[in-house]
Amino acid sequence: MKQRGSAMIFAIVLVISMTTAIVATVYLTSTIARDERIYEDQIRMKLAMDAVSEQIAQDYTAGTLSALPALRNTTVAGVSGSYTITDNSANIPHTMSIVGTVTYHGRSITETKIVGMRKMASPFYYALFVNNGLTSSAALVTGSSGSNGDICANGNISLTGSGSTINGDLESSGTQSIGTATLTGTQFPSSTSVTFPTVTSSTYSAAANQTVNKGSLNGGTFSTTSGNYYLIYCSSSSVSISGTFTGYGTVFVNGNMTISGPITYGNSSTRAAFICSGTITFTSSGPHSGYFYGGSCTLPAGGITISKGALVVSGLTTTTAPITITNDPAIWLDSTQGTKHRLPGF
Amino acid sequence: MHKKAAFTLVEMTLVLALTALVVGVMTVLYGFTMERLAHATADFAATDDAFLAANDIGKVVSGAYSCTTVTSGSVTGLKCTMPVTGTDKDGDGHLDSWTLGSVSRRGLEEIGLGKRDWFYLSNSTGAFGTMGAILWKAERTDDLNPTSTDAISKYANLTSSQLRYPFISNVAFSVNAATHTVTYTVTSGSLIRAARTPGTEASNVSYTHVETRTSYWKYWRK
Repeated sequence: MKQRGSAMIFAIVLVISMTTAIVATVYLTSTIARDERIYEDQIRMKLAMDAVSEQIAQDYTAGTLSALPALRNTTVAGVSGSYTITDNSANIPHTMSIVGTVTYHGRSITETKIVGMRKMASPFYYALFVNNGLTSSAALVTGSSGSNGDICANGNISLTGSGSTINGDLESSGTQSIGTATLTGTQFPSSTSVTFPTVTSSTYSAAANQTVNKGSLNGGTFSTTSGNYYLIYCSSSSVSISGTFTGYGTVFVNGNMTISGPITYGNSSTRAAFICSGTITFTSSGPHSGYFYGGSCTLPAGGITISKGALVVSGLTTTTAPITITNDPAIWLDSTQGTKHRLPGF
Repeated sequence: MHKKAAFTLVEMTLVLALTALVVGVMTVLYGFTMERLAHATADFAATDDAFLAANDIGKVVSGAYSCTTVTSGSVTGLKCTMPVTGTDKDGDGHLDSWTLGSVSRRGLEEIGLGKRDWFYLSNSTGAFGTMGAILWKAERTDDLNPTSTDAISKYANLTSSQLRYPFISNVAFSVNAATHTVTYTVTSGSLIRAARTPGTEASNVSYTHVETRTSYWKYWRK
């Protein structure tokens, strides 16, 4: 009996030892497969987050993500994630913050991505917007210190003059040839055209705070209003404008507009827009301040300078005059300002 | 007469034989297990080094404004121009997470140009252009080739005597400027014996892992 008992104990110890050895072997050889799977899972989770962030940015462009903050729960390739989208414009204008937490095979990671609010631009976001091709053989200088000098043309761009500097991006629906021009931003040829908004005179006539039937307007003070800014409606079909303007307001000309003298701001709390339903002719080189909108635009031989504002026209007939424009980013930073100024397209 | 209980000679012989059999089996199993452990460790070491190094390179590439390859002597390195805006998350004095600085008028992400991050193989000096088996990361504020002083010692060396990636034997880069992508291949090798160094070992006693990836650089608009 003793011998049988000893033999049994011996056999049990042997079986346990062999089992342990086999289990250890299997565990060790499966370690690599497990760790490789962990590495692959990490890459899969990061790629899933990238994909969802890009989808969110595209949904914003498409208008299916309009109300922020928003929460989205999405599963991509088996990776489930919860994404909180908030407006990050207080930190970087026109951006969204996407905080995503993804889970896969029991592991989670959290990342924050900042993406742009990709929307079709307004022509007033640019220093110079032409609803046609842009050709210039003179110096074209826009913006300063690498900003507020973006240019957009719904056509081809050809810059052959010397001394041109564009402090921003150069966008066109056609081709671009910039010669020796210095560009601080990025060239975007073959881009989608930016819509050139039209104006309806009767809309401005009906909303005007003041109607002027004279052929000239030499400065003025915009009265403070609640809601949209003060609107001066010029009923004459041809109006010359010059002088100092004070306050926030808009001048609309029901016809052709001639900028016959420098247009300046009376103080730092001034912003003005000058809109016409016809052509816009500059006979004064400036310097001017303001957002200028019109049809075909003609410049003086000496060129023009717009220190703070924008030039938005359907076409530039003058190709040999130097142009210097620095965009006033107030409209880009806060689109409600465009609405208050009754800018076309807002 | 009183009979004594004892084992017979046959029983003892049988016991000895069975014991020898069990010890033999256990020895074989132990040896087999240790052999598999050595194989698994070598394979894992090679895989781990290649994977983690590829992670490092991919992280920089995906956050870059642009990437290009630069050759000096027999060494081809990868130079990435990084955004100026970012965060130093690990506190080593170098940015390791980058973000956009602004957006275009159409809301497209844009960045300001920052430092140039380099990846290349070199020897213990970290000089670019000197072939070696140590993966270095260097940083410069201009487009000139990095020198030993630009090489980040804390990246190549975990401690004064331990490399971060001791098993990497080769790193290759290929840039496609049209698609804004970099294809990089990290090769690492490890032996299953104590002196685990990559090199000219016979293939049947070493593990080699080749990690090839293609990453896209996001911030190509400035």
